[in-house]
Amino acid sequence: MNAPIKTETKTRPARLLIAAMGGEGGGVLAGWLTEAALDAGLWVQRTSVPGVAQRTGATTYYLEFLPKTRPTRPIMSLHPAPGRVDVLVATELLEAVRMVNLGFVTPDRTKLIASTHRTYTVDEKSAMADGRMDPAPMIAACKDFAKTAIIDDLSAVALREGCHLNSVVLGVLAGSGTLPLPVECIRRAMEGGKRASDANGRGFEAGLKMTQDRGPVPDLGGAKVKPTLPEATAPLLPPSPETAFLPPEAAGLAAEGMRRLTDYQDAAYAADYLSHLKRIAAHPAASPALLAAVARHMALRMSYEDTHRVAELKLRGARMARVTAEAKARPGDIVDVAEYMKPGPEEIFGMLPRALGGRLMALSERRGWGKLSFPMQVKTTRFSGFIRLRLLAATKRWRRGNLRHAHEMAWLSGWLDHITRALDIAPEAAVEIAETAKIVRGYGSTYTRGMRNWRLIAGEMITPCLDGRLPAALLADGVLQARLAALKDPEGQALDRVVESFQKAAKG
Amino acid sequence: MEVSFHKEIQSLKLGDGDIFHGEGILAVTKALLQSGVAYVGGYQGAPVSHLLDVLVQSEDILSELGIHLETCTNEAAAAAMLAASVQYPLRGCVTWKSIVGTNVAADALSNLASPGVIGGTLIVVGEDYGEGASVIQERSHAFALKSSIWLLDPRPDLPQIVKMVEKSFELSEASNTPVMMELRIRACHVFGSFETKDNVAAPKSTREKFAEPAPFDYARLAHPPVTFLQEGDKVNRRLPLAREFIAREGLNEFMGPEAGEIGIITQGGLFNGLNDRLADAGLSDAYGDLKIPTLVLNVTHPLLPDQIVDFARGKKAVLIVEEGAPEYIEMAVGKILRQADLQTAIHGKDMLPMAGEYTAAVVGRGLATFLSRYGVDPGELGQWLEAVDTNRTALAARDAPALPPRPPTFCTGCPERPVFTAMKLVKEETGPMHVSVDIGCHALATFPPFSQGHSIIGYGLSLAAASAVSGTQVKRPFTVMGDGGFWHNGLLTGVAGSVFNQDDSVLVVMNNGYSSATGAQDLPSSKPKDSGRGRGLDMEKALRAMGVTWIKRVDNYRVANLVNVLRDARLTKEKGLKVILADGECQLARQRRIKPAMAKAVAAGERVMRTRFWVDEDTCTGDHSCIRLSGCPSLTIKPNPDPLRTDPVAHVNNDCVGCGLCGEVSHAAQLCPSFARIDIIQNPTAWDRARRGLSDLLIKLCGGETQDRPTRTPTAQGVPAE
Repeated sequence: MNAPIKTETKTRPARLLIAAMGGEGGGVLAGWLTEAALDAGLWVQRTSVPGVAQRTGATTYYLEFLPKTRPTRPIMSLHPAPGRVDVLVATELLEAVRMVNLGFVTPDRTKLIASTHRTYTVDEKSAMADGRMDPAPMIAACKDFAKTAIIDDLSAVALREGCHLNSVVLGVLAGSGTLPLPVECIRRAMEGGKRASDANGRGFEAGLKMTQDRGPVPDLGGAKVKPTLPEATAPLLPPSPETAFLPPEAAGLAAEGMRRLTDYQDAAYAADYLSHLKRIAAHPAASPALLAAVARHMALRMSYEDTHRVAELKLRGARMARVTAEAKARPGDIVDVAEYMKPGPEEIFGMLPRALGGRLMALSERRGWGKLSFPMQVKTTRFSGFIRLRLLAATKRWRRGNLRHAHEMAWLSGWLDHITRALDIAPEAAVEIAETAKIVRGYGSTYTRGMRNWRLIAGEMITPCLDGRLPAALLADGVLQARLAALKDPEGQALDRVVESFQKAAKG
Repeated sequence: MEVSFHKEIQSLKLGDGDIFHGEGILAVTKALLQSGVAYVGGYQGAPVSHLLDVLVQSEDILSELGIHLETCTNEAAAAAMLAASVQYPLRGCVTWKSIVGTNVAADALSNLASPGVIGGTLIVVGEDYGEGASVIQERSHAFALKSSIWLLDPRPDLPQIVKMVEKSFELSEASNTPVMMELRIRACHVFGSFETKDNVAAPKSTREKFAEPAPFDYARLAHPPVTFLQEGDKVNRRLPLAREFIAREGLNEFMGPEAGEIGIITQGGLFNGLNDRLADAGLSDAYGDLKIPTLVLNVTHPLLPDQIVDFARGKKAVLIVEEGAPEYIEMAVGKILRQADLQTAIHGKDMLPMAGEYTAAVVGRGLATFLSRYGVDPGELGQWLEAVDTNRTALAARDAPALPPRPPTFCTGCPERPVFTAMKLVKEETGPMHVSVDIGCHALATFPPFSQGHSIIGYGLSLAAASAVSGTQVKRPFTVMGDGGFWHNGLLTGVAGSVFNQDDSVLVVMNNGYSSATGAQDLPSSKPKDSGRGRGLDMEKALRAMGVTWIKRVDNYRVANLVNVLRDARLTKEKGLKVILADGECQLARQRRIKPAMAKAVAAGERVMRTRFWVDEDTCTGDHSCIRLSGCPSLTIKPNPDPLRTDPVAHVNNDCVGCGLCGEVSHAAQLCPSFARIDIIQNPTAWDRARRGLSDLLIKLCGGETQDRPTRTPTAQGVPAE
């Protein structure tokens, strides 16, 4: 796709640009390469723009290498030039693409070495839903614009070897043969450097081996490399005999829903779930997409996260194995888990019988107890904490008579009612209405906010359209826009704007 | 300061004929020692912090050479140090980040430049311009011009930088004028080599002291009426002397052939990039063998009119490669050529951009335009530029979504993050407030997820910047300042001014114990330790002495308490300045100290408790409120293991230092029950094991599951970036 850029004579230096994040060891990596070049008897120049970027911001290191063919000192550049970078190393996928976008990766010249793992930016991870960039086009960009590409999850190797990422990158770089540096010089530089350690040695050798396993450099063509990425989408769930009446898109989800709700409460509760599903499925306008959405969201909403549920989940044995693995405890270490919990009036009164709980909640609202809550750290690994949660989990047998359950079931029947009525007059809107359940979730203020947003959409958009006060034709798109807006900002400003403009448009 | 510069210090001890390998700013430090300086001072700031950091730890070198070292409280203090060279034949050097530091130092610089110096003085400024810069984009050049300070902009090659440092002292002494050397970010960090010389001890120093002060001489004071004489002396005597020295010593370099139809005049600091593009055009090579006449200005003020005229004579045109605005050199060359009545055309900002860093492509385009205009085929340079454009078009054609930016953030476990979390919670509760922001790590709160702040007006100036705001707003404004800013300027300019004028506002001072943003240097209030310069000055006492009565000390990691104190400061009926001292040691510095200590203790078999946080993926619903209140690098996301959910769950990675903010936030904001603290007792005692054993037994009796303690070594022990 590009005009060929002529290769210059051999008197030009080899140029390496390292894209990294501050505090990640990019400076150490650049330092190792500098030492290796000195050891190899090359002219080398290195520069960087660390500044405050050392606080995990995106940053770069730039190096030039030249053989000593003349006694005179060469003049090397301090800036990387687009289209003139021979080797680009990126310690993270997004940073690799950033370099591609800046023109530092070109098909005529640049050999790209990048790790596919992601360190999510604040924008991505603070999104209210899924704000992650799609990795597939990012990897494609790296491959399309590089001459050759070694793209793999180097972070996983570092994790496996228990070393810093930069030592693995150094090994890959050494083994790739893309720089005029003998492997031995690079290894010596690392071993003699400030950060010499066994772990880094392991990382280096693992990186080196990765390239050897792949064969000679020219075969490292990016197109052949299959990225190993964490699977973002849910695996296809197996259906059960009870859910076989549903289309395959929904059957597996419904089977999982049955399992979840039996565990959550009992078989009778799961049977309720199934009967709701059957009712919707019986409608002639019910599409597979709608049934899948209903199966998914109803299971989640019916297994709402109340105090009994949280207590129960926190006592599961499987959990402790995960904790121990993540904590990297050594043999003989004692691992304790202290849960941060802070029940307030809603959580406490919600567990009480409906009538009593309701009266107490009303009292609480009158007295302004809403802000009162009891911060506690419950050590589930110790008997004192265990027994408290055990009691809370055991009292779930009375759940179906409690206040919170009454609220949840009222919500559920409203939601199901909207879906059923929409199927009659605007079937394409039904699936969007089903998806609105997604914005009701979480605990405390998150739950309150989600419920407020849902009521706004239901009260100002769904009900008026279903009642015929506003045109139903606008419903599907309106609800979709509203649902997306509700997940845009926590203050709900985007949603307010969407609802307002919907009403304006609907009233013509 | 918790970093050791042992290796760097060794390279400062190299002698005649040794080869130094290291970064530009360290080479400058070595050059100072080779030049016989008697005193060094400055204020930390990227990209020149290293100069002071290394010297602070080089006590043996300093005492051997008799050098007085001062880590000044601000740049004005550093510039004022140079007063020693006004009356005494002492060589001295001070350093800071520019343009900001030069602005702060301006008062002293003017009063220094007017009487001039008899001992050589050098001001090394880190020209924080272009990519990586953290300050406003202005040129230090203006200060050199208006105060008659000579300005060096050396070619960024270590031998050349070292030579210019050495020559700067001679130039300063030959012309009785202070000299400033500007080094751009990449030049400060450039790694290279040069042949060293022995260090030189100054004739008069902390070892060989003056027995008597200089005799009274009114002519050396910056005070009328002699200031009028000094003004004349600058232009009538010092300027010609300087020009004579620069010409005699050949400080500017002529490169390439003598004759040619066109030529280039460049700032020394930009030469390497220019040479690379000239090589593209076939007019040079990697060794600087130029085929076009080029004048490299290692001294950018004063210019030498004769030199410029000689260079331009007989040429159709010259291109001036000068970064930033205004184009002082271009304007000066214009005047020089006009007065010499030369018709050589001058190009510069007509072909190169007026603003912004002169990166490779920028210089390449300007150069190609210049060459083409005068009938020189830019050759490969032109093809390269075309290819760059083609590549850009190909990139644009992909229609890929814009990449999210990745600005710097607070470090993992940073003690300043909880303060901004608390401010965000208070904002949610009582509505938005005006926030006056200062310079320092805390300015990172202007980025997501906090995105707060209404003005940044200077270091230590945030409180002063809120004074007129507080008088004109119904809601009391907030001001944030670091302890660095507090001692730099904030105590007097802000606190004294606020008390004096009876302003009604709130000041939050981040007491993290270091000047963290610049590399964790010690401050007056830093705790005295075995090494370092901390003196433990008490901020609270200083505030009380200034008449502040409402002072609250808070532990930053106790968010709920912080929220209460902030709310109180916001809503209290009490008028006047309210100060919150937010205590929490810089985590970067803390980890540097405690990590090795902990590893040592564990290895020695001592009982050590390690703490980190954890998110329960079973109860996390993927809303990420916790992340919006934190932004911690170790609090991230991972795919949702629940087959019914699609949004990623929150996840604490292994970089977690266990500061506890996650748990505090989930409590303070009543977020969710997904956060847990994991305490790992390493080398547990018999008592620990017995208690745990009893607890496990009781749990089992009640039908619970217990986790057997790990018996095999886990595969990974390091802290890889996840």
